[in-house]
Amino acid sequence: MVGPSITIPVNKARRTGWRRLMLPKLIFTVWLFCWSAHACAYLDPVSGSFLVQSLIAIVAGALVAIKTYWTKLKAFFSARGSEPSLESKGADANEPNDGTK
Amino acid sequence: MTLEVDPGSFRDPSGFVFTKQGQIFRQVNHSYRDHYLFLEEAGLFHEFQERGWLIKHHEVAAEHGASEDAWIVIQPERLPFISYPDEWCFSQLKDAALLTLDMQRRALELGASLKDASAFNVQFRTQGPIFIDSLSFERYKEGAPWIAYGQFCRHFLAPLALAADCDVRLMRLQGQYIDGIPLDIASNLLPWRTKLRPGLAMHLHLHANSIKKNADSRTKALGARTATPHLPKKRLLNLIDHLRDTVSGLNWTPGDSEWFDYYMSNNNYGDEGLEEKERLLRRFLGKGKAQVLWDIGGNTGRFSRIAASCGYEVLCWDIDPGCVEAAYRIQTKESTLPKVVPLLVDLTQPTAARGWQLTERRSFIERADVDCIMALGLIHHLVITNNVPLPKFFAFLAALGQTVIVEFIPKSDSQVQKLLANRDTDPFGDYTLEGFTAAAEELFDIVQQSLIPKSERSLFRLRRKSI
Repeated sequence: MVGPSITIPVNKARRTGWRRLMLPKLIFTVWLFCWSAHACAYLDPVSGSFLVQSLIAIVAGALVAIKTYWTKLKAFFSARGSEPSLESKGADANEPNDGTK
Repeated sequence: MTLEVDPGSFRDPSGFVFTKQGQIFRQVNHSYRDHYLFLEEAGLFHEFQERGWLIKHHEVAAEHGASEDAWIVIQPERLPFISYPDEWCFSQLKDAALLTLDMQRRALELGASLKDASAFNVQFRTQGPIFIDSLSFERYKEGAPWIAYGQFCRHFLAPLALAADCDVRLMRLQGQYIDGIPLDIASNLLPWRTKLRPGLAMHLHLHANSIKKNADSRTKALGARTATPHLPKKRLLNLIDHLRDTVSGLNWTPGDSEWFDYYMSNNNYGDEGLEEKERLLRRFLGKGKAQVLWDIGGNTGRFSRIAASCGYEVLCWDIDPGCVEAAYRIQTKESTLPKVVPLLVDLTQPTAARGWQLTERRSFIERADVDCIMALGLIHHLVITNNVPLPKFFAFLAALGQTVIVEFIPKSDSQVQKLLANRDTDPFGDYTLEGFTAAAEELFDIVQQSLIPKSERSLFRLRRKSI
């Protein structure tokens, strides 16, 4: 048995408002893609990889700096350690003997 | 004029590879013009080619292009063979990773950046790894993150970390995942202790977590989804340096590889016998004259290097990651040795065709049809251990090459005795010298045959019959 047909009135005012918003959204989207960083890149820019780079880069920078200074510090103390002591009585075989001691 | 576009070269809109009259070219499209001119002016191509990082190329007329999009066409240097990352040993993949990072770092200094970091962009020649995709570089935009960071971690960091900290055989997962091992899989497989190491903790575990959390971008606002975070160049360089240190710190050494000690103990020659075999082999090989030779089951490359010294361009294939690793390290360490390219393959299930329409990456057999195949100390492993009938063994060899140098190892040999030791009965009735020659003569002509002195083994040189 077929029920009575129901006609849903069209809300002309709402449909017009929806169309009014579509164009600015479209323009905004196109504008954003125009400013995309990689016009020639084709890889899918995975958001997770992008977002995590900033954090990792900051921590990595700190670790690289620590490593650099630690290397310099070790080199500094190694160099100090190999200098002959003023109290030493024997001459270092590798040191040039210029007769000043 | 036969022109064929490489079925594996289609994703990058900057250009593609094609073959014309048997030569390989790379078309550069108009869309890449500005980047190409920038890179030329920055001296990137010249510097990287001089360093041996990037394959050399020269420009040819655009009329040679394969489509109307062509701006120019470049012809790269010839590569003897194309191999795939799941066919490389640990150190090969690591060297490829370090090459990629060194190039990215230097490119950034020159104002450029890699727009992809696929392991397929690297190939191996006897001199070592070389980058083959000249169009992978683009002008760097200040503040932009590295678009290929995720791809680099999937293609290089994940398999290397799995090999170093889990099991080297997990590197074969690269064959399953054509765009690199997903970081969440690697993160789940790696032991907990790797989260305590800053390098893997950040570039792998944290990275995997971030990808997982941001995977579903449909629920996010339109602006948030398309915004690109700002990353100053100095910080990006720090990231590259730290990533390089992380990769550099990953190490794997072959443990008790069963094939590694093959020639060290229990061999069937004795030192003098081995020398006799080498002398006989040289006679059978003759002069290679730059012909291509595949040594299948080549172990650590001892006989491959003999073939190389005879003038052949040699690929040394083996099933054992430890042997391929040793073959690679031996010649990296000793520069005076004749050079080969060692690669990994399981002959009972060699590399299959993969990718889009199964044409993007070609199978092991599709890349064969070489001048000479060498199969020494191999037949008993396929016929006895893997139950491959002799006719099928020769059909396989015939599919690979024109000329075959094959060693027959009889049942009286101690190695075959070991393989038969656990069997109550011997089902290999036709595995005799007579059965071997009868099966060979179905598809090959026997050109030379000789008993190997001081052993019971025989060496054969076969030529494939014309159909």
